[in-house]
Amino acid sequence: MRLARVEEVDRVFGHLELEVLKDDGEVKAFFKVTHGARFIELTVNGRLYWEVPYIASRICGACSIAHYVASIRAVEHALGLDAGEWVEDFRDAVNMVQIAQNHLVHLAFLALPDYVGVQGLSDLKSRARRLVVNSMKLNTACLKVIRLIAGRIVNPNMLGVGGLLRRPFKGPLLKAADYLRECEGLAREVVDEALTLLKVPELKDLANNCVAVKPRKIYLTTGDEILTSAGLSFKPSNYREHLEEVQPEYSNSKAVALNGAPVHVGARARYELLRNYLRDLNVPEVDLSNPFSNLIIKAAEIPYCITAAREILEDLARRTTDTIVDPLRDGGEGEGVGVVEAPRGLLIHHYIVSGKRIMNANIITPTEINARHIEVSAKALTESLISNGQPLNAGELQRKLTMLVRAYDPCLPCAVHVSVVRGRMHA
Amino acid sequence: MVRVIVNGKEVHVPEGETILTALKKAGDAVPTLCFFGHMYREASCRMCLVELSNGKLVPACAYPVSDGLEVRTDTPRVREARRTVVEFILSIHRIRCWSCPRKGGNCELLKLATAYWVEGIPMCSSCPLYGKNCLVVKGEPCLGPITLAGCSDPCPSNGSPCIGCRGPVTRKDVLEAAAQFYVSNSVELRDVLEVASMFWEGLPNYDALKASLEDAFKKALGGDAD
Repeated sequence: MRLARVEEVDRVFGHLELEVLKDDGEVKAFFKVTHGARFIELTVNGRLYWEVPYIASRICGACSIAHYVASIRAVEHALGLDAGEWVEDFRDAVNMVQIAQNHLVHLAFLALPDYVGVQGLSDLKSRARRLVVNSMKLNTACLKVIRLIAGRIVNPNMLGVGGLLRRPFKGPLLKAADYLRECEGLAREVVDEALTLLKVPELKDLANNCVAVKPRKIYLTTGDEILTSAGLSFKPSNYREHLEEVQPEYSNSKAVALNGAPVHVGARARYELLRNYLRDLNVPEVDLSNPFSNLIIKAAEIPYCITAAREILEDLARRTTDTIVDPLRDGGEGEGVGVVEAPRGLLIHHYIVSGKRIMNANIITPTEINARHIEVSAKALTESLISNGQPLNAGELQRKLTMLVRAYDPCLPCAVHVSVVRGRMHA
Repeated sequence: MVRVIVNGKEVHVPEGETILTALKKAGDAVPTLCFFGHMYREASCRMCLVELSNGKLVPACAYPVSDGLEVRTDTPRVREARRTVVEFILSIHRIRCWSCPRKGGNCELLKLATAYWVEGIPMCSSCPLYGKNCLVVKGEPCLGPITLAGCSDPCPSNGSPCIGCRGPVTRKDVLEAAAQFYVSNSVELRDVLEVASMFWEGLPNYDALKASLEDAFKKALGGDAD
């Protein structure tokens, strides 16, 4: 028996469908990605290695930098290159600004209308005008910073494989830091106002199993180790031993399980696992077993990212670098995995390089990892809202399920970067 | 002083002056290429064509003003005529943008071509990388010499090679000169086609383009002089 079916969720990136059924007295939820397949992994095959980050960053327009950095790191690991600390810090700073901007768009423009009880952004503007205007200002400032230091707002192109392609100048770095300093007050104001509006519903999902990248330095920097909530830690190159990709028949994207169990990534997972790496992240009291708490931690990460990025940029302006590379070099043989914390969580790029070419690629995006956990949460949510096998209020259930999906903030164009071709799964 | 009406606006200029003076006074600029003040005013480029009230198209830099003359600078006919003029000039222009001293934002022809939607000038014309910094000179298969200009070059200005997303230049002589440039910097055809395939493989004229590129490289490798 069908309990609820959410056919199109608006205010998320892409197309999906959520269906909750009751079968043999058990509630089952299905997270169906209906977005068309995009075959990025197949496009990458056989291409020159320095081209691959450009192509891979096209997986997502919203978090292109995360894909770009993960792709670069994977190629670097495959070829045994080391970009050096300066460049790694620089990438972290750009990624953090992108995370702040991405979270802001999700929080203020996509998720918040649900909690204020309005239909969308234009209605929200009539209720919380100051918040919307400030968010837009902040969004513009973040994009300005990205353009200034990374070259372009979407799919920037100066972070090359092995180092930077253009010598970064001290002036723009300091200018970007100044912009970010101006943003800090605004960000805190926006987040405080958003948090007062954000009254998340009570919910507990049972499987609280998560993974995140262990940061190199502070919270949200890149790293080369993956932590799990079971206390396990493994190298990215061993990800296949722990993370298993399966292709559900009902979905266009794959779903990932950690040692057979559903697992979640994102802001909630980061906060749960990486608290030790925190430096002044002011998170209000949250119940981390509640999937809606993702939003609160996302909100708290916005000012943190802006401050941390500013500190990194100021530090970088003091240290100089001579790192600059010619994009086309000899290549080599090898296999590499690059991981990075994208705005939505753990992102894995895995390439096999032979000569100058990529022979095989495998990409795991946060939405794929979250896919099964969204089902777990949707099941828990439905169970809390039914009695005697009937929904207490069908409209309410539908609304809550939609809110739940938005709290996870899935990015479906990322998730469908590859799919089944003629019944055979391409890696 | 005579009275001239420029786009409906009245200006007064001394007798014997040209329409261009009136236009300057009215603040309505028209593009000029061959006009050099008192040094040269033969009206040979025809870039400054304007429309008179009787429907005639005349070059502003050479046509003398008369009392009550009505001039319009931005009509569909004028735009179409100027577009044709740019096409004519471009057709006899020896395109070697990669070695041109005016490259990097100083190319008047590129500005006009962009303004009047004429395509055919390669990316190198606006690329800020000169001399030894040029990516092709470094031996990389940058598609700048055979890609259309007009994207404000975000890739080369950030140090990464052009990947041809704006589309190819199809003029044969440009392809041949570009092939010469590639060959002299030991960039191989295979690499160029590899990079080009990402955006151009789906084009209806890709096969023809590929054939002409192959011919051009063959010719360049054969040692034919430019």
